[in-house]
Amino acid sequence: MVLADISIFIGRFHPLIVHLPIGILFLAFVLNVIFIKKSDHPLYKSISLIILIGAIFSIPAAAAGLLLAESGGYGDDELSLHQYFGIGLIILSFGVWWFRRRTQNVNIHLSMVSTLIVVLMITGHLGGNLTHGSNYLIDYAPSPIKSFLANNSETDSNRDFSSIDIDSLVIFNHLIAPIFQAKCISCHQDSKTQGGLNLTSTEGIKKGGDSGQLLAEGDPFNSLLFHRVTLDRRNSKFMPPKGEPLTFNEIKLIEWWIDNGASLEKNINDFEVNEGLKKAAKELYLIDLNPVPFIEKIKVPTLVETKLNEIRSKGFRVNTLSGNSNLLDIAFVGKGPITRDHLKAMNEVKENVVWLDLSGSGLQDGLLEGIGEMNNLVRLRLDNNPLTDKGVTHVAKLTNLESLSLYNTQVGDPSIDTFKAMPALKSIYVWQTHVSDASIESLKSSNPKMELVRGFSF
Amino acid sequence: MNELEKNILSQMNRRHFLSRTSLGLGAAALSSLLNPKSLFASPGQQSYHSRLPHFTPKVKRVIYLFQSGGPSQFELFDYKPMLIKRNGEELPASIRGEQRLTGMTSGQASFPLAGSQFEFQRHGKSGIYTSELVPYTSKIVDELCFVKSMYTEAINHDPAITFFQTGHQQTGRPSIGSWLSYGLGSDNENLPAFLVLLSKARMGDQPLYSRLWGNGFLPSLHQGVQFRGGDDPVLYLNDPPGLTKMSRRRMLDYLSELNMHQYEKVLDPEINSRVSQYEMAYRMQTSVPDALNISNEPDYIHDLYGEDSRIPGTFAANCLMARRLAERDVRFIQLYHQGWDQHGDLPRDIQTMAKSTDQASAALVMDLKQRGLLEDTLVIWGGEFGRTNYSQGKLTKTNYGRDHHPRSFTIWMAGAGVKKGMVYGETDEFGYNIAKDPVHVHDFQATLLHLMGIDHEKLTFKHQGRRYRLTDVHGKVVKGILT
Repeated sequence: MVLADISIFIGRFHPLIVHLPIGILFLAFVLNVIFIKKSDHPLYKSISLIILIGAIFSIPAAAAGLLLAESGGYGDDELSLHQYFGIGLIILSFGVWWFRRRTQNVNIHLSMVSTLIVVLMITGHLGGNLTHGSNYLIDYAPSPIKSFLANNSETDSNRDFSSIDIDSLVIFNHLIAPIFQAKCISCHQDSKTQGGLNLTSTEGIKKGGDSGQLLAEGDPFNSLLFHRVTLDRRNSKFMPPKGEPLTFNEIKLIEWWIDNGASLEKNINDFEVNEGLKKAAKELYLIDLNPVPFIEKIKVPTLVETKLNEIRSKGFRVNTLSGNSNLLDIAFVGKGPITRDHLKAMNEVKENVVWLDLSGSGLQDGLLEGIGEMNNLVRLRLDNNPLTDKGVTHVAKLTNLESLSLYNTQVGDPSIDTFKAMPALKSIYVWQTHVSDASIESLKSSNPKMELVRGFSF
Repeated sequence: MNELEKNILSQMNRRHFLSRTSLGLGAAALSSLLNPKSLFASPGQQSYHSRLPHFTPKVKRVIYLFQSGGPSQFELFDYKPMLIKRNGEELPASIRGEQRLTGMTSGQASFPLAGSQFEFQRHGKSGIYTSELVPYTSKIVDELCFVKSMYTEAINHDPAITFFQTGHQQTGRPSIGSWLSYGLGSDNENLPAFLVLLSKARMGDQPLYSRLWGNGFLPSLHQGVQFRGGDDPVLYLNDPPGLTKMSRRRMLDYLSELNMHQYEKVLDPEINSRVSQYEMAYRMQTSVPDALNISNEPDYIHDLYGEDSRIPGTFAANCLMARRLAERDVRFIQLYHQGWDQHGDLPRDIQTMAKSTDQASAALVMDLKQRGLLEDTLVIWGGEFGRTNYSQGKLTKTNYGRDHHPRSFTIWMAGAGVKKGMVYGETDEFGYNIAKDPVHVHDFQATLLHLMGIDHEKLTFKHQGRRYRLTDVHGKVVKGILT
């Protein structure tokens, strides 16, 4: 129902006016307790009058409350509960006043007033929940009380994601929802939907509210959500109207999220992570979105020094990546050409080798088959060898390979197809090969993350 | 025990010796404790090598293009339009603060600001400002990481270069290359881990001392080996006429036996160094001619580095040699290029200097890149301090000089582990003080070691009663430039 502004204006005085009857009725209760043994005291005798005055004042308070309820934005269940309790309270207070004059029994007096106060407190608490949200009192409670009263609220202390596995981050759930939780949910949840907007459910977000759709996918500046939180603070439509406004990083995150489609389900890996996002995520949630290098993630079997010495004796330089590592960095430094016999020595440590340098070793195509089985290879140097496209097809299996050097070999354009299929490959060195400029350009557009490095001249 | 024996014994680390006394002085007992690895390490450091690097390195080789004399950042990399605008005005005392001056300008009555006479422009996708004096470097700025906020405390050349190389202004400590040789060893058993090449573009400029690439208190086998330009890079390396390789080998074997006997008697670690250096020299007889023979480099390579690269002893030729040495996995290749100390006649002389280094430095970076070596090699370009923003001597329309300025200067780095196309740190508009992200020499050293997989606080050597390290007791890794 569309209300005239005047009705909303008056309705908004309800939280103000209502404190008057509350104070008066409370006074009645206090006096009753203090003067319980002195029922002849004039102050005791005035209690009935006080209750009457309180009851009378609660009528305009309730009227304003009804107008406020009409203006909407309150969860129906909670609203009706408060409403009925409030009306019941008025009736009860009149009743207590009338009944009190009929009896002299001080115990009955006390119990009636106590009941009145209990109903008043319940009504008052429900009213508070309507205004501030049901978590208002719990949010900043000391920890033991908080956990005892814990409900579905995720409060600020849950903002530390530093230990979470990055790959399992769901953008909305982990990055955006906490912002809503902290700054928006108190007025936009199941039990209180200001502006008809409920942010606690997928449907609610998708449906939007009275002012329209919340999100315009891919277009933050035309999204109502983004618009409202970035308005001038003094604007009446600024969100959130009370409490802390969204911080810069939070707004940046929301902007980025909407810009990338405002998905409610997508995982971090489906998104392009830029520097701004990394910074915001780090500052808000202590998440480091920098990709963890492959060599820091993999687990390989332990090495035995004697095995390494065996490989050394065949003409290889063998080093571990670091003092405590089981990852190997191997280079051929012996007398070439390298043969199957040489490579056989590395069979037992196939999984441990991450860096392999066979440049200028006279390596032939056939031998690349064995190398193709070292699936933890990250960097492979095959330059200055008589290799052709045929041999290079064997390295296609190296799904973790990030760098491949083939300069001064006989490879050509057919190998580009091999490279295209390799997911981790970032740099390929093709100077002094038959790879054409045209293919390099075409690869740039199909796989922008791959760099083919040709020869350089000024 | 007489004086001589006392002296000999004290050469060995006394504490380590004392820790072994329980096993007696017997040569036999001691020799059974020796294992091959310890021949190349000082006693007490035996298990060290197996613990390094501390973590996975990004950089396996370093080529340090050291510009001796202090290149002027205002004419090359640090664009300061304020100085051009205020050319001739007095340097405000509030800017100068308490900075000490050298004797060369402290007597000056005035300190007129001197704007660069060379044009600056933005280059590359990263839009970094470089001057017209470095056209080739300008073409590759997208590969470079500039640090414009370097600072040092040293005000004169020798202490300043010593500081850069050893971490201390007074001499006596090992240089960076020696520390790396000590900590990481050599990846090529036929070449030393630390090589030095010298060049100069002007006569009579600041001299260099071989202690700058010396080993300090580390075993002498870790010293930098200087290769001379020209036909004979290492003097007396080759066998004299009449001596066959076979004879040389047998001589070395027998000499080695004699030396080992002596070692067992006197426990002098320098004997071990000497033995290993003889062995290295033997291997270098074959490896050096091959490494330094640039006659088979194709013409387009000489085009890339510039015509100077055909002339041995020039910076360009040294850069080409450096690339060849990097291909052979030499750990630390240091080039020194002298002549940057422009106290006077700066506009004229800096053109000479820039011309002699610009093309070759840029060519080196890109040559490494096209060979895939830039992925695990680091190239550094820089001097020991910067120059003042005010003129030393008379400031005229066409001429000025600049004095030493330790408080801010620029270096650049390229290659593995450092961000590309980046400027780290800023000086104020006068180019006098650092405005943002200062990087001290010790921080630079800590970062360099970090890139090579070494925790700079953990690579230490015990000498004269306490542990020393390259960064002394300072230095923090500059995370902002790391990838």
